[in-house]
Amino acid sequence: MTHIDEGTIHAWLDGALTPSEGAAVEAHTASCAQCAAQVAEARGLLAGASRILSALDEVPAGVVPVRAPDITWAKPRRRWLRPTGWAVAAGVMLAVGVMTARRQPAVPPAPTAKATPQPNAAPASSSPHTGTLNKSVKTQAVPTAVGAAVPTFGMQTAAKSASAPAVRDSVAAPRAMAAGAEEPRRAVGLERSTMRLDAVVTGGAGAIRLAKDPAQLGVQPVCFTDGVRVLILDTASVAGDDRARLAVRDTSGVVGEWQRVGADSVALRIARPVARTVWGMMREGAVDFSGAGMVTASCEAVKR
Amino acid sequence: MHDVDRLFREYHAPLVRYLTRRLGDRDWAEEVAQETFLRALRQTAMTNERAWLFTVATNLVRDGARQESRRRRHLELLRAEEEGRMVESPALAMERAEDAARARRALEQLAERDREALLMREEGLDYHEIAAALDLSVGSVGTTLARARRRLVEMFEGERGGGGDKAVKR
Repeated sequence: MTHIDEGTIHAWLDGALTPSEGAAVEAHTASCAQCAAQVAEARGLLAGASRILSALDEVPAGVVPVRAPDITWAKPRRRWLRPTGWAVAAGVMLAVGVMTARRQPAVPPAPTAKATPQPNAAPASSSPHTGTLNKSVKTQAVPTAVGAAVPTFGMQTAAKSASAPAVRDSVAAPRAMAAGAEEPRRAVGLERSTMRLDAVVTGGAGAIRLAKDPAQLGVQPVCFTDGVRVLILDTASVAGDDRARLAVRDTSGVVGEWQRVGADSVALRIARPVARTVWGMMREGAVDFSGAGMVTASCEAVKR
Repeated sequence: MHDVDRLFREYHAPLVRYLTRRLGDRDWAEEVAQETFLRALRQTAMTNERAWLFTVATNLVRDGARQESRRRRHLELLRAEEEGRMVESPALAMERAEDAARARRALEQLAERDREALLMREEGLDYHEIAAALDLSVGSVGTTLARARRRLVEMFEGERGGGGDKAVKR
């Protein structure tokens, strides 16, 4: 009599066999001690493997530290693991202006000397279709000159970090900010806070790439606020269409949308009932710009 | 735009768990999950949405594998921080953390496809879905899982025997 192979036993235990196949396995194991032992062992392996894998779920709690005490760009994304306080307070209007490029001679996009521009950022200064760079930023929703007087949250800035608070190392930042080294505007109870984001539009359907630090490009998640992440759900072309918009919705159903503002920018407006607001951006947002070049986004949280 | 709301509600948690187990980094897992759902937006039709999501997520992980060393350093840094904090933690927490580390090391010993098949199965994907996601024949999924489970358990137990130097870390 042919014994049952181990794969079939596992498939049987996983309920992946047809009823007739299953019946055959059952019948065989009833009369074959060797295969019955195999089945018993396989049950043990199934249970053991599940148990071992569930131990992995301890990892986030063990590895990912709790949120830094200050709202910073560097570590806030861990916050969603403990989405406790997002509904704490009154409405906050968040406005994000994304300004499209203004044509001007190419300037390297990476603001810091030490920073190695992300692969996609590099061509922005050298490739023929990305010889444009944002030079000035105005956000309709907010009068403040973005990136000049208002502290950034350590975002890469196209306007050079020399004129803006320094881009901080992602790990060192929380401590530096906690120590008040640069007197960052805290998001808690903030009246207004701004951070700048740079993005490279790589083509007609360009990906928007945003990061706090050139060395960290590609690792930042989507916009989120205090424990609730925002998932970009819809996209539309921005250029040339006044009704263009990018709807966003967070996991709790709060909706915001990108709205075209002026000739070459869009703003993201989200009403959120949060006191603490932290912004992050997708490393590859689904913003669809026509034309290539640098895009700078400015995020501003304004307390209503 | 199709039913991304529903997709998100239905599959976000298992997908993130799958990715977290796969990557050992919750943040990274969240990012990959986000990217996966973004791609789902652009997808007009899916025959099997769960298999599709897990396939895309798995491919994103593979594409991002070259970033792994940097990530790992980051993780190590965080882990070191955490261990520093854990000095006063209860012994039970230590034990759990050790189990987690041992489980991760054991999982890393598996062949990539075996590991992914196992993690997908743990998230409830059936054999057809796993086969579709990993480009396997349905008939070979059982064998793949059997091998993966056996190796995982053996490696984990081996770690338990040989990982004493880490286990006594205080």
